[in-house]
Amino acid sequence: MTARIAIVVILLTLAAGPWLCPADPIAQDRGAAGTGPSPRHWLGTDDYGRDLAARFLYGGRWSVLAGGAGTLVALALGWTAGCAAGFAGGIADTLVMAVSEWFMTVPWLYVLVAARAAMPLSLPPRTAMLAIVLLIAALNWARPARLSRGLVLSLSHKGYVEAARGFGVPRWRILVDHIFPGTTGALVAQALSLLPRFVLAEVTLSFLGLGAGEPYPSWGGLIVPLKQAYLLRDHWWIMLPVVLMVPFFASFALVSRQIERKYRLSR
Amino acid sequence: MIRRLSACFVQIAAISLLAFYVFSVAPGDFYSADRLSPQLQGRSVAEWRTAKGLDKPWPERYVLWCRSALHGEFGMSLAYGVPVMRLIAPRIGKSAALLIPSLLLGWAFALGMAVWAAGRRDRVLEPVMSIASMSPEVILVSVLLWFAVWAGAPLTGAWLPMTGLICVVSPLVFLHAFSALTAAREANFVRIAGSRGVLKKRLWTHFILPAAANPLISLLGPSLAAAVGSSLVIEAMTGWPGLGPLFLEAVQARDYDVVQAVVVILATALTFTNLAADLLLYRLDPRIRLRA
Repeated sequence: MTARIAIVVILLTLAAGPWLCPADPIAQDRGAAGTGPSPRHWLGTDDYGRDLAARFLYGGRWSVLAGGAGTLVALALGWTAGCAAGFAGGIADTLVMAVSEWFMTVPWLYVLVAARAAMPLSLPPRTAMLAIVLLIAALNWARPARLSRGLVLSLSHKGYVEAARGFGVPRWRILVDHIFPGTTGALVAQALSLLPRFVLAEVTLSFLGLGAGEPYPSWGGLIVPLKQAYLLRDHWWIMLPVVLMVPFFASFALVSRQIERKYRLSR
Repeated sequence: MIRRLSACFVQIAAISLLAFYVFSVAPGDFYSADRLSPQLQGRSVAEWRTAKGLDKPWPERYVLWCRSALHGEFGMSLAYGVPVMRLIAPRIGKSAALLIPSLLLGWAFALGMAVWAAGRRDRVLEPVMSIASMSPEVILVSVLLWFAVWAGAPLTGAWLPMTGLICVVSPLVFLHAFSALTAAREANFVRIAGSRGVLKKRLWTHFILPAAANPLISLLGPSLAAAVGSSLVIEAMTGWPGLGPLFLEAVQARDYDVVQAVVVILATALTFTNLAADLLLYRLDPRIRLRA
């Protein structure tokens, strides 16, 4: 329960970022460059004098939005492929299973970077975001696909589905009315476990300089200064945004674990 | 068995074809930046591209590339002007020197913890590990770096990336091992064996561990994939001169031969790890042998 509240609070905070912290994430306060937390800059400033709190909030909006959109696309792709495979069976099933197995074994971070490399290097932020979302989704449809296929297979042997079949309900109606509703719980659980992964992928890409790009804030960009770790001795506050990201990932981990358990028990 | 092997080769061929195709249709190449230079005429850039064979159609280049790849040569790095293999080989060594010990240590640590936790029906470690398994390597390594700076430990050397990799591998292994061991522990044949007075030690070595081995062996491939993926970030963060930094550098410079070679080599390594895991399962698990 605490973790669920935490998720809601974090998402609301990120959504309300511009009102919570009126500072401009891109504007440079040259007089206060590289200073620690103060009433004016809660989390301190970076080397250009940009407000870290504002960069954290705006960057989080960007990263979570990119991750969320990726989740939706990946789930839509995976769910469609999985349901089709589970329901149609035969060659379609074998094909989807084989291809998804390939996708599961690929070191997807390398592939993600390579695929991003195949695009123009400096894209406008919105295009970059769209590209990242599509890439992430294209690379991660396999897990939800296998999951929903398994569900469809097990659901189609349930008594009520057999009964509907016996009454002569058309196939598409069985799929829409009897099988889809049974997969929703699993979909939510998948979404909750995929979202932090995708946010992380966006963070990693931005960290590697292949995401949103300067001067636009993103969580990955906030981690970049940590490459020069020796700076941490004097500029310890550049660690604060990273520390603030921990509750986000931790609460998502807890909630998705809870839901997965509950779901497994009820099955 | 033969089907499984041929599937492996089809998979590698498909990945290499895909990698090749993607980079041949990608906008721009190594000389794109030169084309914009006012000191150079378009003609000399075109001549360079012809000299390197970049103007040939991609299927032709793919066939050439495959032929040399079979001899262990993956083309030339345009940025360094040396064969890709000479650039990559030492980096692979460095990465392997990091990956292999951390995988071994991570597995050993995780298995030990899982046996311990499953033995005493621990309820605390599992949620902790599932949070750890979801926590991103960038954050893990940042915290490690922070700790190192705070403690005054040296920031160079293998210990930082290795600890980071262990932190990535062991939660993953732990979670799978824990659930497999718990399930095996609750299984009826284990209970019966226990009630018939089989010693606890023998119960673990002869009943529980063999029953839990199956899901763990199939985890070999995914755990290597996870470690390889994380090593890209971890090497970049800690400045370890492995495959990751070279790969990123090649991406930025559009040195596509290097990028392709890294992707294909990694995919091949992972495919064969999965194959090895499957063969191991086939040998160890009579159920699979009978079905096949």
